[in-house]
Amino acid sequence: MKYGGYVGKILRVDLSTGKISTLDTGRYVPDCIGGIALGYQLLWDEVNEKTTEWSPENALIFATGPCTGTPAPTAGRAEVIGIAPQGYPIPWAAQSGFGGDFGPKLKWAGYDAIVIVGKAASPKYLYISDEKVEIRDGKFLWGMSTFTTQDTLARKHGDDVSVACIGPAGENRVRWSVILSRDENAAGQGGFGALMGDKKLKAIVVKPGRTKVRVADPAQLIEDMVRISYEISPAGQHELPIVEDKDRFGVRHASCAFSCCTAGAQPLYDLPRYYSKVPRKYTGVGSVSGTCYCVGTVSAWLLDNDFSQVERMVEFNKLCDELGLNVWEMFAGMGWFMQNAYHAGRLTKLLGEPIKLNPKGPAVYPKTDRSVGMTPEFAVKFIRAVAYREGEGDIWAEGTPRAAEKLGLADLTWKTHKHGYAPHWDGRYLQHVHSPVWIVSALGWATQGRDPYNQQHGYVERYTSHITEWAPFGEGKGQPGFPSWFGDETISYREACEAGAKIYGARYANEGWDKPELAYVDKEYVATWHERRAIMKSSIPVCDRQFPLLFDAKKPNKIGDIEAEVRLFNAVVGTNWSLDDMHKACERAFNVVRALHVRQGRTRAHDESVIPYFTQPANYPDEPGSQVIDIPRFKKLLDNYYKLHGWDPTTGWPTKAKLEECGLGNIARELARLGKLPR
Amino acid sequence: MAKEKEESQGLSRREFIAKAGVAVATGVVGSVMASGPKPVEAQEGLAQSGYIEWDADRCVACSRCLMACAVYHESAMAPQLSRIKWEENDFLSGFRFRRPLLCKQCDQPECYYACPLRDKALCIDSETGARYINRAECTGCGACMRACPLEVSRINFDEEMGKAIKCDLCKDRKGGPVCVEVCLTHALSLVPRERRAG
Repeated sequence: MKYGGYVGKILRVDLSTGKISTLDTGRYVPDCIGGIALGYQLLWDEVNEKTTEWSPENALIFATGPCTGTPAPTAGRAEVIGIAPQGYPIPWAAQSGFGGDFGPKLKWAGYDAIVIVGKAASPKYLYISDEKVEIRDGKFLWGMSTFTTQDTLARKHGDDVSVACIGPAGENRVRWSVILSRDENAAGQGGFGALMGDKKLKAIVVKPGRTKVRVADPAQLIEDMVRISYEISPAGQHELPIVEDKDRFGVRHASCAFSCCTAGAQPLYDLPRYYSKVPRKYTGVGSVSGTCYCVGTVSAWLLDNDFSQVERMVEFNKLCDELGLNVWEMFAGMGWFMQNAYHAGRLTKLLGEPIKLNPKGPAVYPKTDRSVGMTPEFAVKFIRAVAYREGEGDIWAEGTPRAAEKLGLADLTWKTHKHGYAPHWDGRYLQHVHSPVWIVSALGWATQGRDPYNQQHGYVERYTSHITEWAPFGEGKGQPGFPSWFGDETISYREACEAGAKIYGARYANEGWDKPELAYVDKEYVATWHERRAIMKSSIPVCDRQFPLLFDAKKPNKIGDIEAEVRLFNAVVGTNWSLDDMHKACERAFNVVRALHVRQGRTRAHDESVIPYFTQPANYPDEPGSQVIDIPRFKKLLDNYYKLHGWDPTTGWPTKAKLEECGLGNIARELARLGKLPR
Repeated sequence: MAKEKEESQGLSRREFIAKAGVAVATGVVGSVMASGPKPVEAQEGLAQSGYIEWDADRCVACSRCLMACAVYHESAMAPQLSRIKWEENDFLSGFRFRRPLLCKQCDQPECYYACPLRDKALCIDSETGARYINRAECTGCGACMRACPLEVSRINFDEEMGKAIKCDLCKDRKGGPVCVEVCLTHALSLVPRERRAG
């Protein structure tokens, strides 16, 4: 392999035939970067227009990036790609990433990625080392929780292994089940746990071997890892004393991933916390241990909004982890949907019991409190019923939109779910998002295969927290110099408009808050830029929450270190790519994603399905801009977005010219065969 | 400088001390070191070394130290290339540990005495006192690795190169040990030989 970063081989396992083979990574990189850009290309090569989520041909792909297994900050990640059971009405191809040590150890075992196709006849687990790859009997693991599975396999294969596995929820093909590694590193969105369960694959064990991840420019990488680490860390974070709460149970800080010790989706300066031996109260005897990140506070959302009950939070979080359920869908998606149905008087019973939910719902910040209002006892019962598909749990296991269909509540899902997923960072539910930021969020969500992930942390969260006038928390808010919740200094909205014009290359990119007439102008440039950054983050890979480093209050132009990821990539791989080169590689990848979706049946109508959601008002009625979506202007914006992409505005399909420009002539030919290639 | 003197006598320092007796050695070595850059606790025998100290309470187990170590020294990362090893045992319920295992740069370095090419392959750095491996001379016999008295030997081994790999305190690196530099939570620090206790 001419390039650094890649270890050169992609493992392909066919569970139907037991055939194990390898592909040469060099066929795909560096053009396909790694991570999801590589993964979607591999998926395109595996599936066809007839493949569904449950077809044996559907590929479950684990992909690392070139920086995985190096000390590039936050790069210790792996991405899961496939036709995702959670997607609706069509299970769109999607991806979900996770940290921990699985990605690095997969590379040290000799593989850049794993492609799993076929279905095993009986439960199996996959053992991967650089000496051998084996499909092993996994019957003894079937039924075990994710933690017990990992414990058992670590006892068998040594403490240095990393395991990615499913719990009972994945075994039972729950469409919102996760693939979990360690105790809190989960590929959560997509329902990939169900795909793994459908293939009867309980776990993948990677045993780090002697494969070396070569770094092209070690001095540059070390210089950048220090510089970028400080840039992404909340100010003073690393000076803080480690939390101790030994009276009740042990608490310590823990990093999310190999080569990661930044804020880890734990807002307000803090590091992720590992809780040791927290006594169980609702789920049997003994204790639970594990890390909690942001959405690990599931109990407060699901129950009574009480974030102070740490023990309960850990216990509920670990219950979902053990069973392999996606906590985000539980409270932000299904929970919100249930409240809507309850308050419409159409959901009065759950699991046959009369229910009483939060009377102040539906929970849309800041007008009501946010919790669903279940009792702890009922929540445990419900979560288990779903994971094991007991009784009515079997219906909810199909995910919110499909459950709603069965329960005659399908007309309510538009308020909470698009493409099969709950919202994220769009100003309607949990977050505090001003116009025109949520308009970009809507545009970004339109063409996604899942939730608007590309917008959530790298775009919306940055703006929400980094603009002085908008920063929502704390004393002195709205004052110059007020800290963002990342701990760095905020900048004024006007400064963000100036910086945005330069970053996105469009004059009105960030305009529209105080001048509502500009709210739909130039927003296609912002959405496109962040969509490419999202591909970049999940391909190199780096942390979704921390990148891109958009703003820096200390710089005269207020623009942050927006080339940080590219420098890491170049230092590891040995390329000399510009930011523009990287954006082109990401554009190529996004066209592969789009082609996959088009082949699955995607049209502009699916993209526009996000519109009704945004007719629900955002949270700032006193501001000059409209709090609901302007449909004609949004459709015009969507036209501009398609044109900017070189896609046909009528269908939303990539054109022949664009695909060929991206070097995707073979994809163009395939779409032409299907009659889906405009111009 | 001290090493040259010893070599010219055809004796290693340990042999010299053994032959000459501690009292004499103190005088001799002391006089040599009087013109040298650093004081040496000659009455203990070998010059002491600095070492990397690990603060468990500050460590978030990110593993960057061991990865940066391998990348700095070997331009690549794989567990066997790092001078820092890694211990993990957090699968079973209840966090026990995930932590770096660092070379202690022992006062009485068994690795050094075990090396059949002592002072050629396993050497003592006159500046820092680091017990380090001179790769050009290392034959890959593995004696040092087996001699390490710590429960997980702190000496690594790369089969591909056929060389032992051991912490050298980044003695040739401007800015000092790379693991210390990349540790954002300040869990690692360099204790220079002058401050080494005992």
